[in-house]
Amino acid sequence: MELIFEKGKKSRKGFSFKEEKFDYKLEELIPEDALDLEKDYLEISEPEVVRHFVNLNELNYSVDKGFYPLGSCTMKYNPKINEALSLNQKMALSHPFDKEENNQGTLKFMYELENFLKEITKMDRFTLAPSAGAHGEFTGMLIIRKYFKEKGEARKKVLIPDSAHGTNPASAAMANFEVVEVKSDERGGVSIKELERLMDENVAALMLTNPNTVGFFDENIQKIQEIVHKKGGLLYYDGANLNALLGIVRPGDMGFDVIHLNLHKTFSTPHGGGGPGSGVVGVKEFLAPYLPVPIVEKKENKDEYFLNYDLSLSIGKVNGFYGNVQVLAKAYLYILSVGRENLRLISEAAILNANYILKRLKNYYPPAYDRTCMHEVVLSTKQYQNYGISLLDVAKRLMDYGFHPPTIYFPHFPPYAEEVMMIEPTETENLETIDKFIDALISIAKEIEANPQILKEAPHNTLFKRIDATKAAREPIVRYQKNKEK
Amino acid sequence: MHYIPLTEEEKEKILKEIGLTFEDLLTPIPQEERLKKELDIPFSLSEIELEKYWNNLMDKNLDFARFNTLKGAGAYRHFIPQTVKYLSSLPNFVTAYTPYQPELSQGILQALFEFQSFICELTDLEIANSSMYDGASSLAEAILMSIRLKKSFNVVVAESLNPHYFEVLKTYADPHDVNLINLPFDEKTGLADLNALEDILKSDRISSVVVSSPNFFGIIENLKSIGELVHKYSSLFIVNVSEAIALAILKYGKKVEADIVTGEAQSFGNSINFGGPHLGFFATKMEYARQMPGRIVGETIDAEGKRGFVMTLRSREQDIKREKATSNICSNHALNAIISSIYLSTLGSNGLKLVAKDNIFKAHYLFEGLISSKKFEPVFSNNGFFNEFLVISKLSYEGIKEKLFKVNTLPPFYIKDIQCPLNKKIKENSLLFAVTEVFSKCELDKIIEVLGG
Repeated sequence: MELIFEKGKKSRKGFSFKEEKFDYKLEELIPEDALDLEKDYLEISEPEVVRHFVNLNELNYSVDKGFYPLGSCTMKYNPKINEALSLNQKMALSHPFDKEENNQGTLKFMYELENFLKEITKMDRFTLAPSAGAHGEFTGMLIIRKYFKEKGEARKKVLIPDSAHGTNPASAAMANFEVVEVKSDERGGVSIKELERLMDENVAALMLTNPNTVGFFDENIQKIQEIVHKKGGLLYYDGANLNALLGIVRPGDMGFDVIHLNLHKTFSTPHGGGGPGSGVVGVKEFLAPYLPVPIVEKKENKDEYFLNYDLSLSIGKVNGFYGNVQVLAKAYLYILSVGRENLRLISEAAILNANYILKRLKNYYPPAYDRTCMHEVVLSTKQYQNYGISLLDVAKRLMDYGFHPPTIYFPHFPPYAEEVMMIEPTETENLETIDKFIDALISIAKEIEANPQILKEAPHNTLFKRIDATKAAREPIVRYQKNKEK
Repeated sequence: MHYIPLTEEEKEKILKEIGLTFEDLLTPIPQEERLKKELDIPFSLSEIELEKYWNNLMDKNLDFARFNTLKGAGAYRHFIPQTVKYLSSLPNFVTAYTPYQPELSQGILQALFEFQSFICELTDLEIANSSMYDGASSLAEAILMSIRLKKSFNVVVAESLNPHYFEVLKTYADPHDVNLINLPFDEKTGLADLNALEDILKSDRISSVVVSSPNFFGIIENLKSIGELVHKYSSLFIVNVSEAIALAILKYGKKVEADIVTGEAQSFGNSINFGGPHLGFFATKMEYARQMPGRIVGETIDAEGKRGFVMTLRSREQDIKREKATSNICSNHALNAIISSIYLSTLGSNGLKLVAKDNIFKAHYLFEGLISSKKFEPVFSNNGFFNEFLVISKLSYEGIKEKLFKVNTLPPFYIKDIQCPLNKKIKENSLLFAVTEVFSKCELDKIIEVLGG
């Protein structure tokens, strides 16, 4: 499709705006050498703009359109009522520096959301400020860093399992920790032997995703907790996979000291093509003074709420204001609408759906480990390398069957997790869809044996055929340029 | 309401198929750690109940739609055309994820490529990423990038930067022991002190110099002179723009010798939302592309030679490089970037210039009206401001607030409300007025009348 810059014509207008008359000249108000009046890139009418974006929208897949089983991303349905209500102008038009008295409704819901999250996770305090999961991890790492600094302990290392998301080591590094990888054992969990060997007084924390990215709840969680705490370290919970545990077990009860949650995963706020999300961070009481400022508080015995900047040991501010408030509103509304009697059903259905996929597909795409899974399942296409077929080919072929592929090439830790796809159906898919998806993968397995070429050239039925990522990296074109030679 | 289609019969069917009970599936979870009670959160609300409950809750807020606001200081109420509201709620923008599979994600990829192109046009730089969380974190990442490039932990930051941004910089800089060196502003003009800057640059190896323009006081800095000075000492020049509308008609990027331009693009069609989500932008020169944070979309072709787009220069990112990545950022603010693209498309280059001009004229109009009333005095002798200005008043803040309330206007930002080093140099009863196109001239006249009369 043409770029917006290739559309329009000189002197077209898309913006209804009346200039009011003032006796000013720009040159008299603005330092002359600061002015640049030559930024001319687009003149276009409103109907053209509308068509352009409506057509772009058509070129994209989404969870509203179909099954989107990206593992660890929890692409569940996003309820429409939450979208509509979160646009309330009494919140949307509020400036972050407007007085607290003018924002009591917003502050109250933020306070209550924190309370819900405390109960759901059994943590003692939350900051709602972090903008995304990785931002939450960074916040959590800074809290841990400052805690040890205050204690006078120079712990420089953070342990991270090889199955962890890339954000974990990247966030620890941004907080200037040295990252030490912990190997997984033959059952897909943290190797206790390795953990015992690596855990010492120089380790600030272990970052753990549980269930992990291979879809298993780490059955040694009590042991892990003991090993880390015994040496004075802290336990960090990456809540990317909390959708498996709602109402079943809580991070706070498992011994975690700091956690982050991705509200755009478990709590159904839409992913928006890659954001905005929200990566709220919860801590146990002893770490509460370290939270970023401000936090939302309630006046004693009064239905009155305020922003508290007075935290003695705070790590400071992690973003300009108070977090992605509109996203927080959607998560709050989601919890209210799901309610206490339904919350556990979410995880139950998510677990059942994943195990159903595992059972029906394990003979075609063997799992890295032969055990039942939690809310997501990791299957391998390694055996099809004999036919010259890669995981990427399988993923692209799935598109021809009308499905978005699962997460591919992640996790990646040989010898167990190689050429693996991580499938997370979530609780909001119906069984008919899941069956069709399974049938598609079975059909693809048969195609590999009969006609592998059809996979290598896939996708066939999409508007765009296989996109050349190598060319993009070798000859980077990262912006439109008017005078560029074609 | 739980949005789960699975029926009880289907649950039985699944359990039968896998030959286990649900309890069996939970075996790895230690019994003693499991939750033995129902969670203490409210019972579910129906859609009707939810809507009523939420609307009642929101009624505890001021009805902001009935008021204009004079507050800026990093978040601005601008007019948002209906195209933005309509197009940004299209389902395949809202409910897609990161475009990992380009064949199914061309809509979002192209929209983000267009966003990057807009940012390059407006910042006069060669490469922009497809968004950051907000202006403050984007600037913090720019500083970390300059340290990677220049290998010195000394960074100079203009004192006239938005103090809230500075708080975030401190947070990001703290674990790396970055030495944030203060570049003072001239108390007469509000501009960065170039002599002081040269002294600092002479004295030590500096990775980068950070200057905001417009600065926190709304004043447009002499970026070109600063840029030349910074390059004379081989440091990097980082320019921050907290009010993106200024990009329309001010010089940035190559014309002022900036190496990195970051900022906040909330003003491009994003609701102010009590502070978020907004979005950061990040632009630099091509030679520094491989040290950039964030996702970048590139142009390429598909197997049939048709133009398409894909996430590119990926070897900088956390999912590939882990602890060696240029940043930990994964989710960004893609939908806000698309909103910005829709806004910038609707306005076109001329519309954006009109808005910028209107902001400048109206801000100066209000400024002059207040000053001639004698109830207000300018803080700086320099009137080269964009759409914000700093004044001091003989009236109390409470008095100003009450008077403005009568003309349905919320008061300006009060310097006393922030605690930061700025307070030592600026009287704490100073007021920072922000004026955007949402005010009509007639409304400004009323403000001048109630405050000046």
